[in-house]
Amino acid sequence: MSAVIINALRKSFGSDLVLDDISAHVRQGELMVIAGASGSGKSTLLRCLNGLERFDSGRVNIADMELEPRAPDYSKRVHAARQHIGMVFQSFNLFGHLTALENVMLALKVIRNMPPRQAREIAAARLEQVGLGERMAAYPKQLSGGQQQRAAIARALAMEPRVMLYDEPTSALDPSLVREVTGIMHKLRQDGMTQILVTHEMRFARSTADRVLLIHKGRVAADLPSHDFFNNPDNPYVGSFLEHV
Amino acid sequence: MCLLLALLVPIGAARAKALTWGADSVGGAPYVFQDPAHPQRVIGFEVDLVRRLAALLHRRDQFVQTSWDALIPSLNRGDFDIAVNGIEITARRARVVNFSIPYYACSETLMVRRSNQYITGLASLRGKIVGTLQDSLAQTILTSYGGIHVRAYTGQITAYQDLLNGRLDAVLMDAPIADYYGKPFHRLKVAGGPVGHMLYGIAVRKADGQLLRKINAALLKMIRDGTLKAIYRKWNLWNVQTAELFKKLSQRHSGELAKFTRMVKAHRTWQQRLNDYLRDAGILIRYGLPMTILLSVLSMGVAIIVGLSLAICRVYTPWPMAAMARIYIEAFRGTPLLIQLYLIFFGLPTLGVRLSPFVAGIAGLGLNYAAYEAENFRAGILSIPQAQMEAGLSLGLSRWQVIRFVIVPQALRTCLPPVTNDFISLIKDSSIVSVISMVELTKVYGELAATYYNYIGLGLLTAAIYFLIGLPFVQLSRWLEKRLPAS
Repeated sequence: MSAVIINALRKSFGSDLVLDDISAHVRQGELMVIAGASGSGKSTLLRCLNGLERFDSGRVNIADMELEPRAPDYSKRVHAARQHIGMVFQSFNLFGHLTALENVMLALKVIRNMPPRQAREIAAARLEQVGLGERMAAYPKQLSGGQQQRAAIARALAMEPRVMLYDEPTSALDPSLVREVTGIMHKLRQDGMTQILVTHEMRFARSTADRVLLIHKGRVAADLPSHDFFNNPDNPYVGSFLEHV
Repeated sequence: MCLLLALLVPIGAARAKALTWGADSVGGAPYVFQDPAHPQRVIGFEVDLVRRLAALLHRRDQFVQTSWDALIPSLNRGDFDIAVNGIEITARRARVVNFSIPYYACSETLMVRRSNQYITGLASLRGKIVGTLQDSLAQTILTSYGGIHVRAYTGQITAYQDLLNGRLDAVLMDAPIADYYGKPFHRLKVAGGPVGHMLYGIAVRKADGQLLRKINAALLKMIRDGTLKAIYRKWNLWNVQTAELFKKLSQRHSGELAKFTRMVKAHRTWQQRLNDYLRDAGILIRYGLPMTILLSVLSMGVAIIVGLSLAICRVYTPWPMAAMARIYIEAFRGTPLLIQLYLIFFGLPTLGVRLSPFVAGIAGLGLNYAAYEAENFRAGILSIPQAQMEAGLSLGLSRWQVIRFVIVPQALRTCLPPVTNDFISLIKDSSIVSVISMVELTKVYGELAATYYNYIGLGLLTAAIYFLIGLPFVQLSRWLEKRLPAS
């Protein structure tokens, strides 16, 4: 059963066609890595999945919500889909005026109308889960990059998403801190979370990903199970990509 | 330099001959006012009086326009030789200038709306709102009577206007003013008999003893030969009080003369002066300070709420609303606060919206400052990275929820320093509401300074009070800045 289906998706910025006829699907509980050179359009593809970018044509089915850019209720559907999609950014984007705990609590209070005590319990549990039980009262400025990214993941997980999207979550991190974050994704995969990850971390992709989608100049260059992707010198795009990483 | 001297000499020579006199011709009928037919020319019973007086002194008269409350200080500064403008002879004024023998006597006239059956005199004014001219005998009578809400105006027309449109219950003014400005309104009527008794005198500098003697002699001559009476008849101002005064003066003028020239040389010790300042500081703090703080805080509240809404409209709403917000901001920033205040206070009643001075003051200051705060907040909002919006949306929050819970709190923190700055500025600008008869610090200062002719000492005292009001708010802002986490 597919949790995410991308069908003939096209997206251009002005006259610049950045995504051309992308089709792919991710099964329930799979971790799919979207790979590609810088500027290949992979981040844009991810952002189309939760409506941060509006694509021009095609269809996306995510969290049982059908997104069609021309449909009159597109905005409403995007808003509904986001209730079940978690998103993690390269630059963390924690809310600067709130502590780690308050960052995680905010959506619970505002969207779920949860009483503060209950929201606090859930938020604390999520922060424990990502190993930040000690730093819940700290403001983002007072946290390291790795800690901020873990708090951001906890913030997304608090809303119990069915799909997690990560946009280069480790690119802004010190190499020594990368495993703090990839460890969580690894654990979530074991728990059966559907995850889509845009990354340059090919070692992590090789060890943990179920599938790899390679984007080259806005097109799908390869869509293979992880094992095949890393052992497939025949595909010229894959070979050239792996050489350069 | 030579050219300058050449220019100055003839003027100086002409000055020595002319008798220069100061008065306020703005809305000054029947005393001194601009001739409607020839606006360059001033007319009035005092113009006639000075002309005859100067002729008797073998001098030419030359009029110097000066606002009424600045007459005495300007006289002492040397701007003109004498001040003649319905100046009541009081012991307080006699401390700083000499007065001639009185040239006119009259009372105060109380006027109300024709429909009013209840106000019949001073006693029925308790709890009522009564307008009068600032620094006049009428103001002293009203405030010392007690229980009357007194509104002091700088122009009689606005006072009668406010009586007509219902902001005031009654107006008390010198009889000649009431005759010329109040009685022409058919919807107004005189209530009760004359109130109080006052004498007008010509103010002369203390140092000009000789000029004073000459003026007194000339005035006596004009009283005895009927010249003055003729002038008053011409202006329809001849009254019982003046008739009695003239009778008394012609009979035993030496006694009256001595009485008025005695109110002089009061020497004040340092101890007395210190006590004066303590008393004045008490008056400023009791009658001015609370209103200034209340006005400033409430106006700032309005400015912040309206300003934030405008900023959000400009940044986040589609163009018609954003454009309207922008027009508002440009209009309020680009036009003088004083004019906005006049429009709100004097203009709106013609459209049926009648605001009290307090509400009008808060509206004027608040709506004006809202334009500035809007720009502060807009800058603050734009300084918050777009990624914060994306993070909020991705969590499933709506746009408005992100604005409210994520963007605005961070923007407010960023805006604290410029907003505090504007608040300090607003505290000082709040003095402008004195023009719509609000009594706050600057108004109290103006009244005190005009009463005691002490502009420097009281000015420094008032400035110090303004300075001290701002300090706690600056501290509060610093504390908040430290307490709120930086984004």
